[in-house]
Amino acid sequence: MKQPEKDEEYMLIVNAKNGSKEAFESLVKKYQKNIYYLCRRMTGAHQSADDLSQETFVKAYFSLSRFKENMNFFPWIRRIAVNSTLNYLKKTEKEKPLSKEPQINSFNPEPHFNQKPLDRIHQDELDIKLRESIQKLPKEQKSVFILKVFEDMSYKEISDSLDIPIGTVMSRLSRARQRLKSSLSEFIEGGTT
Amino acid sequence: MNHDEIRKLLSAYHDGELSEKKKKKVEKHIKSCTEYQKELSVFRRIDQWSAQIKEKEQSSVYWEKMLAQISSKIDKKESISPSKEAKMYKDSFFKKEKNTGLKAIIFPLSVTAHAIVILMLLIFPLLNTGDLPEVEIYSAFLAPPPPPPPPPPPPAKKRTSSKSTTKIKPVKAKTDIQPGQLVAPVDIPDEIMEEELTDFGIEGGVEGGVEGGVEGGVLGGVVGGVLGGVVGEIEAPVRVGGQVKRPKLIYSVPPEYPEIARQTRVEGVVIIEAITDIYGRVQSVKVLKSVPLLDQAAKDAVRQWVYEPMVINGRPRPVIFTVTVTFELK
Repeated sequence: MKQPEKDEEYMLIVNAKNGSKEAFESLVKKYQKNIYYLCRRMTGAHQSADDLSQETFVKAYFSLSRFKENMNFFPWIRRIAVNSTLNYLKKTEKEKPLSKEPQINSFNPEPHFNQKPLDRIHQDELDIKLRESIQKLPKEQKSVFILKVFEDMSYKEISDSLDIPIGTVMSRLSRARQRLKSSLSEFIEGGTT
Repeated sequence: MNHDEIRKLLSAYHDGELSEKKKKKVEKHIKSCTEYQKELSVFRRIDQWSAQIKEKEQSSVYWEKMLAQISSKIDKKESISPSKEAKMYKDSFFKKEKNTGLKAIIFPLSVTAHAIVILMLLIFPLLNTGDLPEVEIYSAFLAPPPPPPPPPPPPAKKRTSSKSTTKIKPVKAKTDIQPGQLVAPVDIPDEIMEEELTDFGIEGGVEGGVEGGVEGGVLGGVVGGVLGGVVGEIEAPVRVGGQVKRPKLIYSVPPEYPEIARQTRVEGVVIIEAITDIYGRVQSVKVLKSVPLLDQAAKDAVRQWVYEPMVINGRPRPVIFTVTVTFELK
């Protein structure tokens, strides 16, 4: 983040802390997409992502007093989002374990192996299969994988954000990749990169 | 470091998160291991593919709508907790305990109250058992049969002296002695016989009989009694056991298997205490061991049974004994 941008954000935060709703709204505008897509990747559904990102910002607004100015705003709000999403996943896991699968499964892709630049259909199949496999990961592995791959966070950042040791991040990520590897085997066996 | 240990580090190696020392070790291993080379390329491809996943783009209208919803939610929440102070501590886990003193008193009270309620719940059903099946008691309201009449006295003993009188009779006839007429004796008797007033026995009488008795009466009976009566009050029933043998069953009616018991396939043994009257007829019954559906049938049957009358010391007595009625389905 460039310095003027950072200063601007700092001002917004200070104003928001002093009760300016407009300042907070501009913060929301700035980060709503990132938060929404993060939630969406974690839950795999629009409706829950929508709810969760709204919830995240509302929570953030009411916890602003606990936000320290020397911290970065985005990692802080991202952490709120991740925690809310994990709580949500924990709840839904209990309620309906893996219920929305069949819809995706019914689309049974027949792998086209030797076609090297993946044609469009193959790409779509891969896309669906990959999303499905990520959604099927246990929520701990999923969150670590998403934070690493989509948010491009370092192990240190992930461990801070999820309150877990770096060693745990490492092992969860490793297991997540092993799982993805086996569930995507049909696509992997085909070609080599 | 062996092969499998390296596997765990591959993902971190791929992310460039290993320490220099470990990194070198892994690199060294990978050079000679095609399996892990392949695995690393898989990791790379998964990352690549993931980066290509396109989430559906939302329109700018959606983002504005979300913003509006967020601020309306914030407004709503703020209106519920208007004070800034309250907001600040809203999420705080540690709230100052209020009324600790009062709670300290109430808590033991509440515990005892709960304990009492639970005990009541336990004890009450124990005390309040359901009504036991009512046992029908057939009390025999029988007036004691009238006592039997006494037997008539035996005919007067024939005295040795009376023999002489009979012998004399023809003599008397000669002398025109009319019976009933007072006649002066012809000769002076050797001795004067005492006149017996009780000399009015009846043929078939019994020694020790009473004047006014009836033929066939029982010793100890009362004048004016009825033949076949029993001397004295009805005596208390005797219980079978010991010297008292169980009376023999003379007439029995098989119990009727109740339809409802047959349908529900209820079997069992009903034990009944029966009391016979002096004639051996079952007078009253009482269920000792009950099978609810079968009791009535067993009682109805046993009440019609007749036993040999029990005679003890020459007197018929009512008997108490138990009857076992077995209900069995074929």
